[in-house]
This record gives sequence, structure tokens and C-alpha cells, in this order.
Amino acid sequence: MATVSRRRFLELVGAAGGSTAVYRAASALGLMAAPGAMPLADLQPLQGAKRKVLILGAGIGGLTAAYELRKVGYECKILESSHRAGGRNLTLRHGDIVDELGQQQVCRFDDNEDLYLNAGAARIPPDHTLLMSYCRALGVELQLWNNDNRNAYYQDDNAFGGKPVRQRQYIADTRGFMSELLAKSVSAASLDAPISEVDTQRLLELAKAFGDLNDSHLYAGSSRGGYKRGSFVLHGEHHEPFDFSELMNASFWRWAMHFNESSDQAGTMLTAKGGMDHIVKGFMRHVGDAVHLNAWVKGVELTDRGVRVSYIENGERKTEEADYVLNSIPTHLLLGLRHNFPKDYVEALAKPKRGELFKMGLQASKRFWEEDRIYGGISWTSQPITQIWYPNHGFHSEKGILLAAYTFFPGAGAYFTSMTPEERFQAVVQQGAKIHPGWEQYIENGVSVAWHRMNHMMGCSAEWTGDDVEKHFKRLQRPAGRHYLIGDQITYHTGWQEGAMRSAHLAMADINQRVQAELRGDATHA
Amino acid sequence: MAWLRRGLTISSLLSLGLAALFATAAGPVDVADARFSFCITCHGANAQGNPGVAAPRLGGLPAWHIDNQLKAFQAGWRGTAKGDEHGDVMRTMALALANDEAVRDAAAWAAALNAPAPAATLLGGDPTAGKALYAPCAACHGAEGQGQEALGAPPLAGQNDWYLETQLEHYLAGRRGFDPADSRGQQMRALAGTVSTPQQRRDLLAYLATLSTKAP
Repeated sequence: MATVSRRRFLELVGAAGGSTAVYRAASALGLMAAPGAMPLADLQPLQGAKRKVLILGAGIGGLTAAYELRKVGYECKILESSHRAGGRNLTLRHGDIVDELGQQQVCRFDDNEDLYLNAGAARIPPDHTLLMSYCRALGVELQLWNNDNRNAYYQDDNAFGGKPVRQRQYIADTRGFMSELLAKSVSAASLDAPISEVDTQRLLELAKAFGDLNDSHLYAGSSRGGYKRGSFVLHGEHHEPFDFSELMNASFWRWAMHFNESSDQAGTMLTAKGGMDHIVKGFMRHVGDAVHLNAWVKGVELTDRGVRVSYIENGERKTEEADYVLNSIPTHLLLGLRHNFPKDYVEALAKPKRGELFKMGLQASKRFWEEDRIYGGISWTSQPITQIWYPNHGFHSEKGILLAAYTFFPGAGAYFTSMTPEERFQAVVQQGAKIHPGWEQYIENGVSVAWHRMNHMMGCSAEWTGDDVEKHFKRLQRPAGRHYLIGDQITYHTGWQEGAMRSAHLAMADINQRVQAELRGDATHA
Repeated sequence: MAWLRRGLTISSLLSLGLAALFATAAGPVDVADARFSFCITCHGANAQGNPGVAAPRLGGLPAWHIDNQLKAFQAGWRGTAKGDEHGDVMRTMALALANDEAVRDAAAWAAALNAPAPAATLLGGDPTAGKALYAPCAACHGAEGQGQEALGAPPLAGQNDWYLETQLEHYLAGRRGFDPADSRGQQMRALAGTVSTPQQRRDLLAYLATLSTKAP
């Protein structure tokens, strides 16, 4: 039987399905690296020796470090500049303060445990195995999270007359047209490549199955796109396919349609039941007594024996020395502290760009979207709000919290953040009305979080580009003296809790080695 | 905003005397002053400036200059132009100051912080060429770049070179000095034309850096 080379096969797939299809096929063939299993810090107990670690920042990275280090006998203190622990793991409920510089807000959601917004970390892919293991260890209950709801909408000002269309219809038609094209090219049996006739036949069947083609290998609409009328006791009539050029006019196919294929977003996705901050609460039950809130670091000085940190705690100046420092202060703010870091370290600190992600939550008096067959998932739009998320819990209860804007494309940050909170609210409600006409009547209040305006942060996930990763990122992964940078900011997947945890483990593994070497040295001298 | 602009002259006069009083009578201010300590989130632990968030040095600059700039932000002369997102952050902060008294206190607080003079960070400038370019600037900003309060011309010596470079770009692009009511800004916008090429700006800033080493 003639065979087709892997490379040739990928070319064929690429011609038909684009680079995403190539990537998926390549992964299936085992050509792409699988998620690496990094060894976790295997910390050895201090057995009576004393070592002090200062942790700067009570975000997920800092909390992870304190949790692990204390278990093996290290003395830990966490200095947290804001009024709360958690960093960008922030769940907003009734009465919570949003500490945006110059424009503080108070969350006005009803006092109801089901009404909350995960304003930062919101979802967990099961591939984030370290985070999963902490959820298990801390007793954090998980529930399903829906990234992919075919009944949710796509709305584009440049297509379909600006009217929202169901994603199921858009996706079914796009796949249908693509499959028809693939079927035609296979039938033409051009196949100059040494691909067997059996495989050719199978490829044709794949095209038919993938796009729901008819027996003539043509796409004439599909029940996958939903029914115009009928379907149960009356004969079901599916929609006519959209005009192909309208599908292309819409920008959904460019990226959003494939968003949930990506390594960190593909189903099954999970989230913490009752709000992502249950992870923070879980850690705080173990290390809360080590956390000093409103403790604002002013200087970090490397010394011969360790690190000296000066800070202001509730208005009082303090200085503290430690054997090691784990620091999750964002690089762009770290640059503004007093420090004596080496030159290459400072150079590297200046490289990552500040992320400018923005989220806005709205409280709705009625879960009108559920009456429209939408349970969880995400609607997409070409408007600045970009996305609407529907709650994945509390189905059929009275009220609900929608995430009604989530902007993350580079350069999109300034659009909402230059507005006052009230202006943001008006703009978000107005834009969302193109997807849910008349929804204004149900919207009661809103709360917005512009991460690059948040006090003590002034930035969301760090953005590393080009050569900076190879040279500077790797420098920051190594310590300066006994000072270690941690946090999602020095990972390849910035903006994930898993990264914050793994960066802490990377630092702890190194500290463990150094301490064990020191202790062996001590023993020899004794 | 007319009241604000009127208020500018009166409060500038007031701040003159009061800021001096504040600095001398109260001695070094407390960086932990809860009314203003949020400023150091961006401007650095001693308000020495932080390139990470494009926030300039404030500590050691004269209070009248900081006062003027806070009011310029409030009036929308700064931080409202497209392409000046950092200015927009600062404008939000300036608007959060309740009244002229709060502006004056904030300016006095920041000015009194003990920030070291900044080191030069920009490369490729020729200070000798820069000295010649500086001649017309000296009329307002002073021969040593020390600034002149009467003209509202800030000191340039002692300011971060990366910040000055950005501001010159803002003037040239019309992101500062665009409001007819901002007469000083309009004047500066015209003068910025004397350093219209990137190399000229680098030369000028290289010269200013030599003055900065002498700055307080």
C-alpha cells in the first residue's frame, strides 16, 4: 500500500485546514512537545536549623511558597502591599473594594453568595496539574467551566448586518464549506503524493463527517447549525447556509472560533466552585498568620548573607533581613524601588511589557440568557467589549452576574480604562445590547477592573516578546544573590495561576539545594 | 474648567509661600503619609522616577512645578491626547485631588522627598552639540537647567532623561501644548521644533544629563 509521508500529510491538512489544523494534527502525530513535567521542589526538612524567607506579595506564587516552606521548617513572612491577599486571583462580591488608583469602586452586587465576579483568574485547565493538586490538597471544590457554548452568539459590525448569529450556525457553515472544498480536492485525486486509494477514500469520508456534507459531498446546511422550525414532533427544518462571503466578512474565523482549541483553553475546563478565591482562602487557612497586609516594600538590598528589605507597614517604617527573598512584585514596579540588583538583572527587569487586561461584571435582575438557551459559555463580538461570559452556576435562579466585557488584545486596554467607572458601565451596556437587544432593562449595576490601573499592580499579565525571552527572561529565572523573582510574570504562560505556582517551585528547588549544601558544610565544621 | 484656569494663578502664588513654609517648618516629609503615599506606587519608592511605568522623578523638584503640572492635568492640558496613555493615568490621579489645597499639599509632599538625581540612561547623544541646542532653551529654563518659577519653566536638570525625551515627542506630536488656554504649553510646543530630529533630542538630553549631575 502506498503511504504518504508525515510531512506531506501535514501539508495536505494545512492546505485544507490552515495552521491550527496542522498544529492539531502534528500534536496527534507526536511531533510537538507534550506539556513538560517539571520536577517539583522536593524540599528537605530543616531539622532544627533556622532559615528565614521573606516573601514579597501574597498572590498565588507567594502563598504557594509559604505553604510549602513552612511545612519543612522555614520561617516565612509575607509582605503584601494591598488590603487583601490573592493578587490577581480576585473574586468580587457585595461590598468588596476595587482599589483602582484614583477611582476606587465598591462592588454593589446583591449580598448573595452566588453573585460574584472572578475579575482575574477565572478558569482552570486540568493540564495545570500543580494547581489541580493544590485544589485537592486544600479541599477546593471544582465545577465545570464552559468555554464553548454553540448557542452563544457571535456579533460582528461588518457581517450579517451587525446582527448576532448563533455560533453553532456559523461554525457548522464554515466547516461545511471547508469540507466541501476538501472533498473536491480529494475527488480530483490530484493526489500526486503516494497516498493510498484506501486513505483517499477515508479522507473523503473525513471531509463528509467533519462538515456534515450530503451524499454528493456538497454542503447544503446542517442540523448542527440548529433548526429554523420543528425538530421533535414536527419535521425539523434546518437553516439555509449563510452566504460564504458573509462568513468571511465576519472576523470570527480569524481567531475566536478556534480560541478553545488552545492548550490552556480546551475542554474540559474547570473553575473553583463559589469563586476562584476559594484557592486563596484555602492557602490562607494554612499561612494566613504569616501574611502582613498593607506592608509596602520600599527597598530590596542584596547583602553578603541574605537580603535586607525595607518597608512601610501601616505607616510605620521597618527593616527586615532574611536568608532568602521570594519576590512577586511586578517587574515594572520593582524597578522603582531602592535596590542594588546587578546590571544585567535590572536590564532584564525592564523588558516585559505590562498587560492591560480589563474586565467588567454586570448584575442582571433576571437570567434572560437562559430563556434564550444559553447556559454558561461565551459570546463574542467585534466591539470593544469582545466577550460576554454567562455564569456556569446558579442555573434558573433569579439573578446572575455576567462578565460583560473582557478586553485582552494588545492596545485594547486604554479604551475602557480612560473612562470613569460610570462611563464604562454605560459603554458596556450599550455595546452588549447589540447581542442581547433590550438587556438594559435587566442590568442593575456593574463593577470594572482595569488591571493596569490597580493600586500596587499597575499591570496585568506580563508580555514577553521576541529575543527578550531567550536572554532576559532566562536571567530573571535565575536568582540575584539570594533574591528570587517569582510569579506568573516569569513563565512562558503568563497570566495563569499554574505559572505562579511553578515559578515558586523553581525558586524553592534552588533554595533547597543551597540550604542543604550549607547545612552539610555546617555539619563538617561542627 | 474656566474656574480652574483662574484658580491656577491664585493658587500658584499661594503655593509659593506655603510650600516653602511646609518644607522648612515641617522638615523632611513622611513618605508614608497616607494622603499621598499611593504616588510612590508609580513614581518610585522615593519619587525618584520609574521607567517601568514611565513615571517621572518628583522628589527634589520644586513644589511650584509639580503644582502647575497637577493643575495642567486637571485642566485637561495634559493626559487627554490620544497616544498619551501614561498621561491619562496621571490625569485620573490629579482629578482625584479634591481642591487646590490638596494639590498644593501633594506637590509639597512630593517635592520634599529625598530622591537622588537621576543617572543618564539614553545612549548616542553628543553633549557638545547638545549645549548649542540648549541655548534658546536657557532663556526660560535657566543656564544650569534649574528652571524659573516666574515663567513656569520647570527645571530640566535633575529630571529623568527618558521622561524628557517622551515629553519632547509629545510636544512635537501635539499631545502637549495643544490647548490655546495653555499658553506655556503652546510656547513650549513651538520651541520643541528646534529639536525636531531624534538625534537632536538625544544630543540635547546628553547635555542636560551633564547638568543633572550638578542638580540637587
